Amino acid sequence: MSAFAGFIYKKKRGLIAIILILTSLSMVVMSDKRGIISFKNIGNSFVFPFQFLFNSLGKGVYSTVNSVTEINKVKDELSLAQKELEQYRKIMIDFNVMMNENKSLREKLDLVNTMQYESVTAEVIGHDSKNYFDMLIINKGSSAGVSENMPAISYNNGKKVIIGKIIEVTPFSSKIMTLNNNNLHIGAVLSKDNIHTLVTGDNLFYGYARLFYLPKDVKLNKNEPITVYTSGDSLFYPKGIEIGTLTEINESKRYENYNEGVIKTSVELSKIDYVLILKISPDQQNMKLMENPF
Amino acid sequence: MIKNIILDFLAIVAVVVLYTTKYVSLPIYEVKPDIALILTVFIGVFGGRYNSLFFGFACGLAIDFVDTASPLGFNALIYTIIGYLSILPNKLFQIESSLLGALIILFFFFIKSVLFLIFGYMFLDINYLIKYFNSKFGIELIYTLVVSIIIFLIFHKIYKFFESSKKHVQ
Repeated sequence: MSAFAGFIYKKKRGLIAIILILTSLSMVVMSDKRGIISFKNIGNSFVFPFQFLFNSLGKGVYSTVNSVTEINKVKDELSLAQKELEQYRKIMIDFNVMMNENKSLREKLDLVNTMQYESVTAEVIGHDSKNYFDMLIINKGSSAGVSENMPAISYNNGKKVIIGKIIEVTPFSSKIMTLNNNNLHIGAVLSKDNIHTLVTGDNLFYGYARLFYLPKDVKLNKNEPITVYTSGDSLFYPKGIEIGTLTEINESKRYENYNEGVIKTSVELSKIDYVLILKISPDQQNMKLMENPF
Repeated sequence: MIKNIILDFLAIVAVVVLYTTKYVSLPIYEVKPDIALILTVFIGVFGGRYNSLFFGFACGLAIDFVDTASPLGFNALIYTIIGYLSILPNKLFQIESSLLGALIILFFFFIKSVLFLIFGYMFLDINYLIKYFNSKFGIELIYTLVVSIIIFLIFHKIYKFFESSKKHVQ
């Protein structure tokens, strides 16, 4: 017995470590959303780091070899891009002239830009700890009239652009689920032909979101970029707020009759210091209709 | 003892604040230095036999509470193991220079990455792992090494101060 006690005393640190590791492991297993631990999974997880390492090394060698052949291609693309840039510069000058003209005409007409909805300005004070731009934390909460599902917007080059929606509210702070979060869904409409679609956030590629239910006949045209706006179909987002520009159309893996698109979002989440929360709460009748449409 | 607990608690609060607060964490391309790793390792290097073990567990658990990407206990598991291993360098070297401190952090950063891969494969979204290693790993490594030099110097000063005050008391 005393030998056992001596052993325990000697290996005290190791035993404490084992207890803490087992405590953590049991917590992870209990709170794991997938809840699946199999021997195959455990075995795979020990092989995975080596697979990952060798795959990365192979990929590195492959891309180094490839990059040499790519240089010529890049050169051609660069000269093409420079030509396009020159064209855009000319367009910008025309655009600025038109903007100034528009401004002076507005002043003459004594039009005042007013926000249709009551809004509250809030400062961004934090981010999600790991997925940095998935969530923003702002310094206004229920005490300032902010409540769940209110849309958050910002201004980019004088245009209203969508950021996301409020998902959590405390008295003095709130959390915004952004377009970088793949749980965010927004009813959208294309500037071309008024086509209604659905936008979903994307956390794999910063600055991009995905577009679903895109009809097969929609094609991209370099000279005529397609802008995506909120459609006003959902109860939470008002109509006509810019989401982004359609950059890519791919075949949908899920739906035969539709394509999927990639949008370059108009909002620059990394540059946002202040946001505007629109105080929109869908009226009770509409909410009931959504819950029970028949 | 109580002084140690208070210091550890303050360090954990600092780590959580650095993980979540915008202007304090100074992110570079969305990436922040792994302060929890640095503190766990240096507490193991400079502190007592058990400090780093408990600190790693408590700090990991605190991160788990504020982190939406990983299940509760995930970071606690990784930092407990780091805390357990962190007394090894002290047995091998006399750690006096900040460069050696940074090398030790480099070693533990790779251990953490292997643990992150193994446990991440079991418990996290695989896309999240790929995204982390493709876009954040390199920057986080460099950033952590740079910050570790500064923290090493602070730790070294504090440690020397405690050592000299202990000698005075004796």
